[in-house]
Amino acid sequence: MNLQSEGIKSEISTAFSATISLSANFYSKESLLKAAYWLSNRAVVHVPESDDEKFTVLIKLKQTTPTLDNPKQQNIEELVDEFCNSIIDFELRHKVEIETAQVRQIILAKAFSESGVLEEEPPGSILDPVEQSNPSNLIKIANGPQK
Amino acid sequence: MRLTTGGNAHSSLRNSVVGKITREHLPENERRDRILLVDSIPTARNQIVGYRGILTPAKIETDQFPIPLISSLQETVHLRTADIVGIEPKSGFVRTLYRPDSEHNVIFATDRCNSNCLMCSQPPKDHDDTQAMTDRNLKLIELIDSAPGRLVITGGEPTLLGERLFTIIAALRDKFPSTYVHMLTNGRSFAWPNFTARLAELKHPNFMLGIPLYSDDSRIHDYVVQARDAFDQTVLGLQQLARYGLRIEIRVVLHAVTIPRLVHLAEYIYRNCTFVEHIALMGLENIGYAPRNMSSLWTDPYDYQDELEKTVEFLSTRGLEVSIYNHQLCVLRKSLWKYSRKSISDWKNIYLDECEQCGVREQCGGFFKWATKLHSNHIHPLPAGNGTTR
Amino acid sequence: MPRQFYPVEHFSVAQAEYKLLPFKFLKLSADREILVNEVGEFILAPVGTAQRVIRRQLDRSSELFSTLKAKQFLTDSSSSALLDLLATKYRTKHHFLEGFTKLHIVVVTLRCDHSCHYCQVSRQTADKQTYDMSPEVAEKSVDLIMQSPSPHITLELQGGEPLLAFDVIQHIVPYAKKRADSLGKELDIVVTTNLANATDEMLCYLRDEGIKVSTSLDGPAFIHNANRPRPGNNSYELTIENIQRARTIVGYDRVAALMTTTQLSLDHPKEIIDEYVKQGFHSIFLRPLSPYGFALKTKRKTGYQLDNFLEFYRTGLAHILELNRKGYDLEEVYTKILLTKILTPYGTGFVDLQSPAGAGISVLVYNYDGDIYATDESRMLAEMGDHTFRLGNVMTSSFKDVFTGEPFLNLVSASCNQSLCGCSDCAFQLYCGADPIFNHATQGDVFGHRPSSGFCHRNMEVIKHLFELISTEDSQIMRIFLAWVQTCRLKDLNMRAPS
Repeated sequence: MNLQSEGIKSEISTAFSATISLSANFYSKESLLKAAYWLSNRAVVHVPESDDEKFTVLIKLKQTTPTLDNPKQQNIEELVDEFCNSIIDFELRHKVEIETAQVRQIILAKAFSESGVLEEEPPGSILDPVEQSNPSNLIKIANGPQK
Repeated sequence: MRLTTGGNAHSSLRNSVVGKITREHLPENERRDRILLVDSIPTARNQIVGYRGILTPAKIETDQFPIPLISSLQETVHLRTADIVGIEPKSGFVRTLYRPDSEHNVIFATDRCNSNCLMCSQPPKDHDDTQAMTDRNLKLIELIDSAPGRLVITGGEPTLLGERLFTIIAALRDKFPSTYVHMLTNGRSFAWPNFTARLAELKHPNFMLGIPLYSDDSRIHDYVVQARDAFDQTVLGLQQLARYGLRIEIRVVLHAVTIPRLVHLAEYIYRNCTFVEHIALMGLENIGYAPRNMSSLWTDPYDYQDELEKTVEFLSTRGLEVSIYNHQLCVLRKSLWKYSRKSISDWKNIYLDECEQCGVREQCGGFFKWATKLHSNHIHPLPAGNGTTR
Repeated sequence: MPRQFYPVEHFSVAQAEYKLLPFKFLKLSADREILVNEVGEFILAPVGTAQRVIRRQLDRSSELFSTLKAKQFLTDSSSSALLDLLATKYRTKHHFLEGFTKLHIVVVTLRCDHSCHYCQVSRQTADKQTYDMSPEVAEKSVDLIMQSPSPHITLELQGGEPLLAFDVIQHIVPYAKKRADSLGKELDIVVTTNLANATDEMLCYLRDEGIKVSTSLDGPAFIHNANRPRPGNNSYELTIENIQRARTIVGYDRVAALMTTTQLSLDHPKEIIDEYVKQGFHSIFLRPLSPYGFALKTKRKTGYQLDNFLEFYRTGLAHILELNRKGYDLEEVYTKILLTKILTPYGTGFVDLQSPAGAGISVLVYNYDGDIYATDESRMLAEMGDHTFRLGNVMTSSFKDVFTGEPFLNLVSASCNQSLCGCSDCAFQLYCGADPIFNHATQGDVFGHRPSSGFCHRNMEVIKHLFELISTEDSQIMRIFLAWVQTCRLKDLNMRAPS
């Protein structure tokens, strides 16, 4: 992943910490928080600066030496990679969430409503050429309820 | 097997008549609703009075006749006593409507249809025959003596009859409750819940709907049936029918347009129509519109065995009942034989010359009679002892 | 004159852009990701597909577009009528919620003759009569049980060792049957027992009352006896002998076995599975290690190491698949639960892996002393002094008290993974579940912390593993998987027509 593109810039400060600069034009606070959440057992995430233009994010590994429980030391570069990919993914998810919030409400409401209450008219017409040229009482369904 | 013939309709035949054939002379009190089929007309009046109509191959010069008459009838061998026929004025058509000794009897609801499928075997006619057909069918039901094992209601699109369809189904329910009725419909009308509710209200105890679905892609389905919004309406119709507890079979005609996404369609049916009781995968009939559109439709069944096998595997491993109709065993993969049914109605069922030597001819469903013009390039006789189909 | 025929383009939708329908995605490997819609239908696709869908970079004439539309990941229709399909499918996925609490566990006694290392209830010796359920408490428990709206009730008789309190069983069973009959409810009864004290008379009683048996079989002798010590150290031999006897008297198909996984088990998946085959069982549940009760106290003996469990599970599943390929029918229950959610339109009512969590909503526990708990695990926590999930007592609490009380409301607020941090965006949301009691026991609060959650990590890895197997497109594996999930059919769902 090209860390310099897509409005993310990262800089490794030490073996255990890094600074990431996020453009607020590309990324929302929600994506940042969610990406940070998934790091929160392995790293501490600070946001020392944020304004309309950008977020500055500071990541510090929690574990600086190998332990019996975790003999494999986490690598700061890998973590930063993971974090940045994660932010991009969460931003996409955020987009989906915003776009589909309303339809999701409708689906759930329909799923648990009393039957018939939220039903819509089916699309289109079922008239054949005969009915079209000479509407009869034969099929009232197209125009309204039969009974 | 022949189901239609014709002759000269005399002016005494003013309206369509539905009656039961008798090849033997009957006493006067048994002639009601009977149509006498004779080689020559009896001279004594009391030998013909009381019949609903008379058919004869003889040439009758005089037009005057006391009861409905068709003379110069072209074929008579296929007409048997107790067959129910419809005879038409003007055209002189004699149409067999019901044969008591056949399992393939049909109630033809209407020639009208609101779809126009590329491969339709019974192309629609845009004239309003709904009243005439309903009258004919109700009379037919009245004349059937003993309960047939099964009956198929078809068309055109039967639901275009509206309330009259329900009258016919109610008549069947009341007279022959044990007869299994299978109705072929595009299912679109059932998207309107009130219509579905009307059918459900009838509570016919032995009723199933056969509804075609040709793709999971709405655009492709609409293209095959030549009607916009048909996919949406059919799928919604399927949902409503299931909601009201009605029994459903889904049918797919296999050709060049439906084969490419066939496995996807299987998944669509499984996820969205899990309630379906049966899925019929059907070979193409080279009749009706099909010959005209054959360049878009034809694909040799031998060449789509991969898709067919994957589709049948998909459905059967998920507990769905699936059958293959109108395919020959020499063209089907062995693994699919147990799904193949002898599905072709007797009156349009033939075998080819190649089949003379075939060891599994008995188990194979054979061909439609119009397959002589077009069939797979891979038809060949198989040795006997090749396992059985159901 | 025939009507005009139109080309396929005539049936395309005029609309310029498509609208998204709710879906989630997750990267599974370097080159593959999974997209899952609102009702659990999935698409396995190259990495970057979700991005292209969301950013409107799709080729509208592609097969992928057709599939996304058919599977309701997006729509280009001006009509929203097909949303009804999603609604129906959503309801179907959650059908297990209908009827509310169906599984009711009644602890007829706390007394036991075994000293299983992982046992999450305190063991009492055989002479402590204070630890049996009294007839009054038994009846009050049944009265409360029968207030559940569900037309079908499963009564699970538990312990300690329930057969040590056979008189309690003989009191509660006819009482429950009578009450169920009068309410027109169907009643299934199962007794979970080590069978060590099962006399022929007891087995005949179980047979006559239609009660099923669920017993413990941890594996071959060296594992089973090590896990489940008893005087004489012959739990295995006794169990095998008693399984035969129970099968003969109660019925072959009415005796099931469950294993409990310990540190020792983790090194021997094949031996355990082979033992189940040897004993003629056709179902095995590779259950994860329990983090509760004595397991927490005696951590050294039972341990809790997640990665070892995952290895155990993967090896075990591969061995089970191989056995199936060779012709021996053996289902693995953990896999079956997940596959039902992945491969079928249905959900499952397995209380530990559902959302909303099964605690209270799908299962309730009635302890020997009348205390009501949300799950068996919350009862175990109570034995260790943690009463967080005690919902009431049958002698003093009404149905309403139980379900509107503080403990239940607290529990339920963390029961839906749709609204939990980490879960709310997860592609596996519909396949997974929520376990607020697990969170409480292992992480200190009902909501839990996903990145360090054993529940999350385990389920994610297992689900990923299953998708790896599914994407091999091995038709034999698919056949085996599909055979396992066939048990739920639409006709079992009691579909109703509108009145």
